[in-house]
Amino acid sequence: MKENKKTAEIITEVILLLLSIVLTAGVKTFISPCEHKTDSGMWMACHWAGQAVFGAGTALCANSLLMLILKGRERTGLALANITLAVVTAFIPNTLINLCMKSEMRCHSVMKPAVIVISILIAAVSCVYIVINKNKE
Amino acid sequence: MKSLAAKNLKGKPLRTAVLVILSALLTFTVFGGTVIVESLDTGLASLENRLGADIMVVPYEAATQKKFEDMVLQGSTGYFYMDSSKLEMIKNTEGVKRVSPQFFLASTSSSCCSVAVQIIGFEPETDFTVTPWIKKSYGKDLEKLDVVVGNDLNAFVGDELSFYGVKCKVAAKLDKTGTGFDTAVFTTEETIKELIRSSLEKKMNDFKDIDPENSVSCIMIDVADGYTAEEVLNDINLHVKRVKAIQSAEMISGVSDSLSGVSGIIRILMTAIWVLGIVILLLAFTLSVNERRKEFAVLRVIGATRARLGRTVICEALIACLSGGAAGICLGILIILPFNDIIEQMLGLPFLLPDAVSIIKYVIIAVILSALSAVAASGTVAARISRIDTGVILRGDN
Repeated sequence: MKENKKTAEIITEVILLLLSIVLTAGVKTFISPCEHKTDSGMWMACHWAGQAVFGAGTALCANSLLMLILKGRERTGLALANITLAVVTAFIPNTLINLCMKSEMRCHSVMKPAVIVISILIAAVSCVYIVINKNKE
Repeated sequence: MKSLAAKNLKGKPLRTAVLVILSALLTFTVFGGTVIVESLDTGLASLENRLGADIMVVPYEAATQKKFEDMVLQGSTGYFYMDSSKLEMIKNTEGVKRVSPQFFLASTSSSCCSVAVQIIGFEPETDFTVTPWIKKSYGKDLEKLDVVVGNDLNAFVGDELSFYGVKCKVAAKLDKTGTGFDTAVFTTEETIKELIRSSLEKKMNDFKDIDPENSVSCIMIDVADGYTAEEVLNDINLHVKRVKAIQSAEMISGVSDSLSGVSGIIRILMTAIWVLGIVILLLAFTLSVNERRKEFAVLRVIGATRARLGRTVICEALIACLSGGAAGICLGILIILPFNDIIEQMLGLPFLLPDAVSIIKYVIIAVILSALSAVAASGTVAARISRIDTGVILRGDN
């Protein structure tokens, strides 16, 4: 079913895409985990948490981009998928994948809270999007 | 009336957005500023409680290089030792009620996913500073190779931690204190001596000419009644060589000075932003009402009372400010609470978030302040609009 998009829908779709890009690009740049390897040359645990967030972020970006491109009701399905994915992403740092030892380390003090906050925002905006779409119907 | 106010706000989305953003910033400033100031105060109180001793004696070089203060305040790792004979000398000093030695050791970051942590060993028979805190989290005595971890360490009860190849069991996790002790590991003298022995066997530590078996790092002193900490401190500094006695209150007063400076600046900024915000809100409402004088005159003509016009203006302001206030509080919660570790590192001061009840109290205060500023900013404008001369305005003679 093809239909014209409302301004509010387009705005929420753009916000979702931006948040997903910030999460994906951020975890490799300004909200990256601790950079150094351990003395034994192995990556620290938080590196893998960062990689997992990057993967989930890429999926969120793809979903959000599809929501912006598509015009049918499948966008609601994509928004629902975004909510699930964002919730899972929020649990990656330190719940699903362990982070480093001290909470003052970068993975605890920067990456973990930033990933949680951005994931919550993605889930919240996706919920708003579903409400807007439902009202439209 | 609510519907009219809501429709007015909806009709001018740009103006409404500006009002909402402005009040969001105001509420964020008040809420965020209050939480930060309170966290600093709670952190200082926690540090005062946590030190527990009147005087602390460390080797002279540890005090001059600020090693000890950095360990307490910043959680930096390090170790220093002095001969345990100093303990006997201090014990015999007049005015000393009780003493307890502590042993420091910094773990290495050799094992995967681990980093250097400060290990603090205490003598269970004499200790009066660490044990009361451990008792709160762990009712029993620590067995050999049992450790208690600070709240900021990513280890939990039952976990096994390896220090210098010695596997230790996490018996308890302490409550958060907002100080450097949150990243430390506490254990008994027996265990820490075992770790020191292992580190020497593995050649991972170099104690030079110091014999770790007959050394202590720090001596905690409780002053007897009838004596002042200054008297005992001066006596120790005069008569016990190559040590430095530090008064806990003195160390805290340095932190307290920095803290009151930071808190003062935050309070001044909060007040300045709040006053400025109210002035901007007042201007925004005045401009908005001035450009809608004809609209209000028409409302008067079709039967709206003066009081109703005033109430509509105030209601508009309340809706805009409370929405903005809610957004500001959400922003504050999303920034300050999750990022408290980085704020603590940036401030470099003891920082302990207030409990949930206090945070809810600050949320309520911020909402009330937001509503009051809306009423204050729109009240004068509402009073003026209720006195408009309908005839003059509709004729266009204003």
